[in-house]
Amino acid sequence: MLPPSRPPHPAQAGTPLRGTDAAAEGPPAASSDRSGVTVVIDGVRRVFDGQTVAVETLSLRIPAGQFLAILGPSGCGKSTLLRLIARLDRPTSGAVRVEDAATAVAESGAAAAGVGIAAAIGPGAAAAGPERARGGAGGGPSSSPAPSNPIAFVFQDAHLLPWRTVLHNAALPLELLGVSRAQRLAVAREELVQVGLGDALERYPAQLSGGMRMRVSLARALVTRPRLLLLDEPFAALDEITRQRLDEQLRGLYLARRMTVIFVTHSIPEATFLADRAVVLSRRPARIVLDAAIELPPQRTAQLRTDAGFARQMRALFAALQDA
Amino acid sequence: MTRFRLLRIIGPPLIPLLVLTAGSELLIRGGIIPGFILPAPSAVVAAVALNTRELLAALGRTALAASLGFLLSVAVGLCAAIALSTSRLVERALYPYTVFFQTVPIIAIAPLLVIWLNYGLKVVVASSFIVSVFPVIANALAGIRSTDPALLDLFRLYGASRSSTLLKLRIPAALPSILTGLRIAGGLAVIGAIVGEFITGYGLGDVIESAKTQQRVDLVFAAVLLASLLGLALFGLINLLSYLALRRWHACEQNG
Repeated sequence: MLPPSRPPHPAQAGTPLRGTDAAAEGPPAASSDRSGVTVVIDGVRRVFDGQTVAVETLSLRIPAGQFLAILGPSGCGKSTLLRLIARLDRPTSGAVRVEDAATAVAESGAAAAGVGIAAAIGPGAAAAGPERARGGAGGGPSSSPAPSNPIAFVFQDAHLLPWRTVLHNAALPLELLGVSRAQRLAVAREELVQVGLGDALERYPAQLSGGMRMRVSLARALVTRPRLLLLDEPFAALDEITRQRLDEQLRGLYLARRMTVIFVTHSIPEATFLADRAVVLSRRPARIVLDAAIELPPQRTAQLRTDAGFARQMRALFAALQDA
Repeated sequence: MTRFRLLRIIGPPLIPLLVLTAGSELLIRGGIIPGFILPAPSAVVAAVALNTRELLAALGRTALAASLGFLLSVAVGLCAAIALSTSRLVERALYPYTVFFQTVPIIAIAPLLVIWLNYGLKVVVASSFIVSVFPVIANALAGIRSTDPALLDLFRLYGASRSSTLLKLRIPAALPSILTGLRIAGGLAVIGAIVGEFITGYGLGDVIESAKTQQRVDLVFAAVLLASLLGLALFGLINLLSYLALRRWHACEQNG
C-alpha cells in the first residue's frame, strides 16, 4: 500500500484526473516494497540523426501504481518514448526519472522533490544504467531475497529464445541478474503458473501458439517482480479473443501487484478496458493531445466490454484520436 | 509401411543413378565410347576391387587431412567471426582481408605452400583450410550480426555483460547460419585437400595424379569417386550435427 501521506501530483495536464489514482481504491498490494514507482518525464525530446524529431519536448508524470495507456497513430513515437523510459535509449534533451515513492518517504528529510532511487538519465548521466537502479530498489529495509530489476519490458512480439524451454525462457532475466539456478527456476515456475502455463514448462517456443508465447513473455517480464512494467503493443499480433483474454489476465496481475504499468497500444477498446488513464499522442513528432482519466471500476471483467459506461469512455478517446 | 516410406525417400535419387550407370555401361560395351576415354562403371568397380588396399590407405590420408583442415577452418573461422563482430571498426579494418581466402587461386599458391611448409600433410591441411575458412567466417558473422534487436534490448535491460550476451544470445541465435557455413566448408575442405595433394603427392590426390600419367582412367575415376564420397560423408556428418543441435527449436529442421 502506498503511503497515505503522499503529496498530490501536480502538473497533470488535461481533463479530470483526480481520483484516477487506482492505488487508493483497489485491494491492498501484496507488500509495500513491491508497489509501483513514479515515472517523471521531464521535457523529453528525442531527435534521431539530428533531423527526425520522434518526441517533441514532452512532459508527463505517471504516479506510482497507475495503469497508463499511451495511444497514438502508428509511427508516432510511442515506442521511442517507451524505450526512453526503459533507459534503452537516451533523450536528446530533458530527463526521465523513475522515483520510488516509498523510499522517498522513508528518507523524508532528504531533499524535497523527487529523490528516492531516482535513476535519472539524460545527456549528462551516462553512468545511470539499470545497475544503479537495481541496487537502489533492492536496498530497501524489507528487500526480498531475489535481486530485482525495477523495470520490465514486454515487446510487440514475444521475442523468446527459441532454443530454450518455456521455463528457461521465463527464468532468463533472473539468470542475467545472477540469481542462483534453483531460485530462478522456482520463481519462473511460479510466474508461469500465474499466467496459466504450468503444464507447458518443458515445451519449446516453436511448439506454442502465439497467445501462449506472449504469456511466456509476460511471465518473463514478471519474474523480477518489476515495479514498472512497460508494454509495447504486446498483443497486437494476436487474434481478438486471445487478446481479450490476455487483457483480462494483465489487468488481474496489475490489481494483484500494484506495479506502475505503461501500455502502448493503438487499440481504443484495449486502452479503455485496461487503463486508468489514457494519453493520446499526436502524429510524429509525438506531443500530448489528450490526457484523460478512464472512469471505470478497478475490477474489470469481460462483461465490462458491453457496458454503456465502457462505450462512453471509448467514444471520448475515439474523438480525441480523430483529432490527433 | 516404414519400409515403403524409406523407399520413397531413397528411391527418386536412385533412379537417375541407375539409368546413368546402365546407360554408360551399354554405350561403352557397345563400343560407342572408347573405354580409355570413359571407363565403364564395371571397370571402375573392378579398379576399386583390385586396388582396395592402396585406395583405402589414400582415402584414410585424405580424410585425415581434410578433417584437420575443416576443423582448423571451424576453429579459426568462428574465432575470427566473433572478433570481427565486436566492433564495426574492427570489421571494416579486417573483413576485406578475409575475402582474400575466398578469392585466392589455391592452385596457384599451392606451390608456395610447399616452399613454406615442406611436403606432406601440413601442405594438404593448409590448402584445405584456405579453401574452406571463408564460408565459416562469412556465415557466422552474418548470423552473429543479425541478432534480434529486441532481444539485445532485453539483455541490456537486465545489465547483461558483453560476454554473457555473446554466449547466451548472439552465438546460439547464429547457430543456424553457422551450421550453413560448416556445410559449405565441409565440401570445400575435401576439394582443397585434393588440390594440395596434387602438388605435394599425398592421399587420393596422389593416386589421381599417378593414375593419370599411367593413362589409368578407371583408377582416376575410382579415386574421384572415393573423394566425392568423402565429401558426402562430411556433409552428412554436419547435417546430423545440425539436426541434433536444432531439431527442437529451428524451423529448418522441423519441416524437413
